[in-house]
Amino acid sequence: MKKYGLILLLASLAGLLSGCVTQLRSDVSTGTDLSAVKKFYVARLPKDERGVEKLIADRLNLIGKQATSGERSAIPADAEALVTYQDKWMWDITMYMIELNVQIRKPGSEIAIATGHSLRTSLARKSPPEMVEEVLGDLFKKR
Amino acid sequence: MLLTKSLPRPAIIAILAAFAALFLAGCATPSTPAAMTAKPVTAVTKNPESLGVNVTGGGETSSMGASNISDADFATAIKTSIADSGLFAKITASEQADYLLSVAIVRLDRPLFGASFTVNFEATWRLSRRSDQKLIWEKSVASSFTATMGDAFVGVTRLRLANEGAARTNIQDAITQMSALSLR
Repeated sequence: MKKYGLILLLASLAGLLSGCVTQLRSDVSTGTDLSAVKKFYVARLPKDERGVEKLIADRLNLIGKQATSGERSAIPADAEALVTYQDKWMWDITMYMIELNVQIRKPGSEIAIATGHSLRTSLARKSPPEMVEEVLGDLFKKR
Repeated sequence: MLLTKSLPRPAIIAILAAFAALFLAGCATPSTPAAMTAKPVTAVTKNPESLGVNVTGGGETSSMGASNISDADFATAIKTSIADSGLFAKITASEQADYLLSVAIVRLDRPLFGASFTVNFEATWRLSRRSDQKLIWEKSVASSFTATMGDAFVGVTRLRLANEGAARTNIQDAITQMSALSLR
């Protein structure tokens, strides 16, 4: 019986600490019409070695935009929007993306015109392409 | 019932105490307006007009989540900081103000773990004149702040301190930039 009690306690503790928290949020600044923006450039986060910038560009292309990616300094002159992001990863049996933040900015001033955020803890985890799809889907839904 | 039958009373008390400690120490608390208020900046230009402040993009703090910055708390900190600086003569409701300051929290990049917590914060600041809706000034202001184990041993408190420091620095920087504006 002692064992069962301890197991129950440990299970409760693990459940409480890992949880299955999900957050999805996006904001589009007043007066911004994302549907009118066609050409995007996704700037690679210098410390990103997982190619998240390519996932974002691929998703943008899939939804009918023209998107390329690369170093921030190499933004094409005809880009209508600069996309930046921050990805966070956590280990739980395997590595998984716990958080993704995406900003869509004016190319010159780099002022953000739209932001998207998704947080998914271990039990609610999604693959990186699905996280990208979720964030961009929510952003462009608001336009 | 299972626990009370299988574990001795002292063990149950110890476990309950441990859980209480975990919850009391581990509950995240939101960033407070007072701690986000910038040190008084002496405004170069003191404008006799009134200002309304509107904040978007913040988030509420859940006890089991990470410390966050709410729209209302950040707005209060901005209003107090601007009032202290004398940049505008009066801080009032947005609908009655001569100028409107719209601040959008773009990024609150918080670490998940570590001994020192560095928070990167970015907000877009827009100052417009209400009479003709003219955009006077627009700037993306980025700031960061590091809270160490020396500042707070408990992680959630350390993160809150880093959030507050980054927000405070952001407000201070924005007020300094707005102080150099000529609204005439």
